[in-house]
Amino acid sequence: MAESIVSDWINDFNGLEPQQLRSFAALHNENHELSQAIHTILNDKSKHQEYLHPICNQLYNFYRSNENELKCFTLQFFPNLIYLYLNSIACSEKHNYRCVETLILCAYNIEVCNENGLLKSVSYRMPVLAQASIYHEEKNLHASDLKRWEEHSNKEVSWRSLHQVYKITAQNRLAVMSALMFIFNQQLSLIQKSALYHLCKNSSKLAAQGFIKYGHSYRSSYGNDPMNTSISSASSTTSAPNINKMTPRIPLSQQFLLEVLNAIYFAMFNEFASAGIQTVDDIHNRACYELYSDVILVTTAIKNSLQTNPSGQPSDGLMGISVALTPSTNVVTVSKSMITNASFRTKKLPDDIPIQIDSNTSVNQSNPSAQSQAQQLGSINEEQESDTNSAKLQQQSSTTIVPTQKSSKEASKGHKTVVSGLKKLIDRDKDSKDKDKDKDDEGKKKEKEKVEKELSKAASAIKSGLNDTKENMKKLMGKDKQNSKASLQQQTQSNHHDEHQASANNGDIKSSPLVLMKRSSDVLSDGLATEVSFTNAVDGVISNNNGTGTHGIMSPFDSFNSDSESEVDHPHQQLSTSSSASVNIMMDSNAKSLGNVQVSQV
Amino acid sequence: MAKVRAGKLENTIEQCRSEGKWQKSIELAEELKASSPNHEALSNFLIGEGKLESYLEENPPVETNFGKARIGLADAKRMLISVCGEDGRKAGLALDSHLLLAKLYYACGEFEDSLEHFKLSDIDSLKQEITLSARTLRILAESYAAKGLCIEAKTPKGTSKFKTAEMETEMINCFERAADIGLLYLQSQEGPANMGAILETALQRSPIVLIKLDRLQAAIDRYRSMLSAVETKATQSLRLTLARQLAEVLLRGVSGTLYTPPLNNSRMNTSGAKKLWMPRRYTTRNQFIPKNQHEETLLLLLIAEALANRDAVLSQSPEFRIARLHALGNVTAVYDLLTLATVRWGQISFLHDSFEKALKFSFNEPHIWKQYALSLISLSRYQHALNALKDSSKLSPCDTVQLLMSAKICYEQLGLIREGLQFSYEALRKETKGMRSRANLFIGIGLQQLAITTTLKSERDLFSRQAIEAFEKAVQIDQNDYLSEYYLALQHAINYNITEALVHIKTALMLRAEHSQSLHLFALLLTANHRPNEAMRIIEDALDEFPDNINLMHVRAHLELHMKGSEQALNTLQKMIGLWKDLYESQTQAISGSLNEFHDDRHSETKSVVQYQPSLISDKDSNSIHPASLAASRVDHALSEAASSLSSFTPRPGSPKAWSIQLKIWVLLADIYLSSELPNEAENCIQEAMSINPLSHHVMYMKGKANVYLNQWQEAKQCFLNAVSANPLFPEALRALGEAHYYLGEPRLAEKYLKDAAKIDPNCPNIWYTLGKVMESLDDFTASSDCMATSLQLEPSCPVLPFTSINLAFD
Repeated sequence: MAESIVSDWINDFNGLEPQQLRSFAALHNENHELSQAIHTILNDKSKHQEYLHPICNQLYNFYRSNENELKCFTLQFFPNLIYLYLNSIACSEKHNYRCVETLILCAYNIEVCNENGLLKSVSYRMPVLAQASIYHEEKNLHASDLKRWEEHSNKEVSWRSLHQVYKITAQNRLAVMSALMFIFNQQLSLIQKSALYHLCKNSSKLAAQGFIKYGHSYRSSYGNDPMNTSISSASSTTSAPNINKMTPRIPLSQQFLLEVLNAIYFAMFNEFASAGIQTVDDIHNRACYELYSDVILVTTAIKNSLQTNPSGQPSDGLMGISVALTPSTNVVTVSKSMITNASFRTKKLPDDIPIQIDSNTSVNQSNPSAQSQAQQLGSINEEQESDTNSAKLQQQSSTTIVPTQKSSKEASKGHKTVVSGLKKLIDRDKDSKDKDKDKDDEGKKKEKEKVEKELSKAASAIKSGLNDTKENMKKLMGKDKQNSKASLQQQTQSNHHDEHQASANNGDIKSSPLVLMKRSSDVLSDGLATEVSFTNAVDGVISNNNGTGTHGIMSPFDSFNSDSESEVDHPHQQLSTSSSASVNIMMDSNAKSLGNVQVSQV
Repeated sequence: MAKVRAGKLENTIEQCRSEGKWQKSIELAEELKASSPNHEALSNFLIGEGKLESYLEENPPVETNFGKARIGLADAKRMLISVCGEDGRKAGLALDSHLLLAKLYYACGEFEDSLEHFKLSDIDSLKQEITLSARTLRILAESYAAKGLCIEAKTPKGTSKFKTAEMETEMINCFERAADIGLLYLQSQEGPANMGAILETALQRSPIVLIKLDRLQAAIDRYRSMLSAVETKATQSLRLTLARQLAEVLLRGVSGTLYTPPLNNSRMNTSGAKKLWMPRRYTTRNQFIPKNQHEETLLLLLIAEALANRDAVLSQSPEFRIARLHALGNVTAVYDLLTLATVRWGQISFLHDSFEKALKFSFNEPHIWKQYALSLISLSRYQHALNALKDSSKLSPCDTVQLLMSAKICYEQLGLIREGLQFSYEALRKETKGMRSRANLFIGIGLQQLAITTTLKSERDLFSRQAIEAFEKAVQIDQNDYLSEYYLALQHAINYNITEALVHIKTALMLRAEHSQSLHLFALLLTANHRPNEAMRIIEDALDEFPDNINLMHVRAHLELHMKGSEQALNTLQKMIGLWKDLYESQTQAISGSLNEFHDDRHSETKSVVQYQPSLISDKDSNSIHPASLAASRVDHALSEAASSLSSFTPRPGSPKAWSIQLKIWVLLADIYLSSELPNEAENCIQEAMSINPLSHHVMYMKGKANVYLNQWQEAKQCFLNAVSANPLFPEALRALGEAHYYLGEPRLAEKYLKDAAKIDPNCPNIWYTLGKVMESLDDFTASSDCMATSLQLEPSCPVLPFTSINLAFD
């Protein structure tokens, strides 16, 4: 019966005039008998020899035509075709299913490109509660709800972009299959409902084939699904419940299973509850076996929602949605003593010390005038750090490993990611100085204004602390440029303060010039990453360095010790000429300055 | 006087009514009745109303209560009927009492009577222009609700199609008005108000009846219209339900092409031509208006999550158990939907944030904990995931999957072999269904890794014997599993049972022909079986199927170097570099972009710039070369960390994995140049590699080799020494060091290092050969000939690359 329907269908199409195509297409959408017949043949291996090729050929023609109905008609067989294809690969019978492969490959390539040959992409914006929407106003929400989503703020999410594929290989096979299932999912509600049953059945086979069933017998029945009786009798010949060693397992991927699950979930609430649940079980078992965390996340969620769904079950119909009344007990028993999440008021944490450190990040980037203050703040803990670092250095100098200097290429590559390097530096900075006070960056930025207020307070406090070092500085700095801004003076002063500390603490290392050299070049490249965004600071530093060049040991040390501060203090004279926007600082300039350092060392 | 008092009383009563204080209202009405007899109708009405409402508060009008209500409401009914007559009409109470009676009949399940009273009340003639008091609003809303419910409950039997359609329209209209007026009423309430079962049912029912009638789009619009009404405390729980349900509808019933996005609320408001009986809607400027179903679904779920989270109960004492479970159920339902909506799009970090927040009120809730742990795994935050899995496993002790996941993380990501082994043993002990072979397989993998990393021969033999046993058990239980067969083959290969290994690898390939690691091992086994041409063919075929697999290319380059000369190998290398550019270059640049999502700096335990990446060994796309062993990768890690703190070395930005692959390409290229007698080019390659990581033992070893080529034995020795100090378990470097000492005329030292090398890799013919030479120079000819003989014996079964160079396979 199925055969005759299908051969009529093929003949009809072959004898079609181009202008008749539209009316021919219109017939397909409701033609359940035909779909049924094609499914029957696809499911019956014995009929493949004769019919598979013409069917694929015709479906391919359908897909290629610009008729949406015909495309949609073809789409409903995708799960079935995918199973046939993947199974043929697993059985090493690929040669018999070339036509299926061709159909799949063509459909895929048609779908990933639009008419202009550009890659299609499906994307959406990630909503955030911080922005009012047609369904809410941000003021009604808990502060934590708003803040938390900020980082996702209107991010564009798109389906992994794909390339055109010329040949299906083991490497791209499942990606292609996932893409096809994705397309299937896009059209789910337009596809004939009966196809959803075949979707479930084929997905179950994909997931469970070659495995021994636990817990339930191999599906002899799907319960009360309407399609059940007619189809299972037709296909029982092929999916016989014999689990022998010869049925191979079909390799799958997480993304493919996720797409399948999406379709199954839909099927579950559109008439095929028990078949869908069964398939979810099969996929869950497979995912557990393969330890696919993404898939288990979803299957667990589906299974849990089936057990405890407050609105309803898929078998209830109506998409499992029913009236869920607030239990009256809730109103009665809710007493004052019960603590809910709403009982907490978000209290702003005191904006104390950590903010000062963090202000390095925010203030530096945006507000150069506050910069020097921030740097002073950052230098408070310098002393401790140099201690630990000197210990490290000692260790390192005694290792047998002698690394050579890095090549010039590398260093120049270094500044491509100026900003990221900076970020890292700041992170490290924060980390080393402020481990226990480490807090969320994001939140802080919001409080920038507050921070600035704090800063000015703190700055005045530090000024007084610096007074005693000032005298020292004056002696040391000899011919310090008087014309540099007042703020820059402060900055250099604090740096010199560090230098002083450092040289005192690291006396024993002076004896190891090799290490010093390494260190200095390290710092150089470190510094490079940050310099560019701190041209202002660099200017100041350069004037500083011109002054300090006379007293040797300090500069490299200093820059090492104040690792985190390296945006300010490294002996980089060359930069003064190109300080304005020098993204492409060449290594030779680096080398020269390195040479300078060496001289001053010796 | 009496009139004034009565007026005052009426005011008080009105207040009681709007606040729902029915007992008080009844008392006052009795007082009113006693004080002024001409208010009898009013008093009766009030008493009837009070009795009805207070009864319904105790016994909500649901089907199970219908019978009971007939008795319980008899009093109220009598009172209200008395007002329906002429007196009532005069006092202007007829409408209200008819409506209340209709509601009363509905509560008794007498739908026909109820509908009759609706008809009598002439409710539909009311003009929308009047502003109504809160109490009247409520009566109206409830009346429409009850009417809708009555129509729905009355099964239209034998009526014509037209009649049915008419009834349906009527019902839908009733629900719609009930919803609008109900929301308006709720918006007028300040505190949290109990909206009552009738209203709540009708509000939720109104879209559902549309779904039932297969008018999905209308149902969606209904949901949208209700959700766009401004929220008040009274509507929160309703909104939670509605938001979740609309998300459900969108997930379950709508797909891409069928979707129509919602309209702007302000447009909706104006089009309605100023109806007073409409709830206020959100009309802020710059609103987020979803454009497709994903945006709307996620928005709804976010709102639902925020609402559900707010009600989550933290109190653990038993008296709150029911409330807690109810709230938790609501939250979980939202999370489950959120999972469905996000994972497919790879938005797991989004999901993870939600679960993290949920932990606060999910003490000992296995579901939430499990999902939390899984989301961490998917985010590649393994250390954290392992801890979460430990906690989660405690809550669901029968779940072997979580134990095996922990084991996998330990092996693959954290290099905690013994801990992983423990998890695997525990999984085997607790094994429920279906996972016994997996547990055995994982035990085997752990033992295999232990065997590879130990230097003590007795221990190593023990571990590898146990590993074979475990793999064999796994194969026995699950004969259809290619992975167990593969590992069995690998273990045999490591033990140099080449023939045995070949048998098993063939079985593995029969079960799954396209498994890159199996093909890799097969090729190596063929080279160890003196069939290099076949090996080459296998590799070529494998590369046809896995064109981007750098591991296979690596093997091919080595094979070509040995078989076809360096020209060919150089070609392959060129391809490898091209591939690296295609696949990994983006990772080295896009540091602020997508990569950070996976390597979230905020959470990394060590804030070092180079992160712990034993995943060099195996990676989701299984593209990494020459992992040596877990121990070596640990060394790599430690050193790169040291390097970042110590020297002239700035770690490259971006994924360390990508760089380490590049490094290995450079090292191999240097090797090829050396064999084509181009030392300068080799030197350049080594420089490049060194700029990536100067402390890698591979680089140091290759530098030594370059020095050997130039006959600079002293420098070569230093390089090999460096390589050995970086990784003491690196047999090639040990061998080369021994050789260097030999050429420098220090045979005793040479002997020592060569013996060390032989201890680590007793199956390498080269080591034995060099040792033989050394022994010869020491005039120990028996030992020398023994060594040479061993070397000869081993030579035929020596693969082109060590078997352990294949990365760990888990799928």
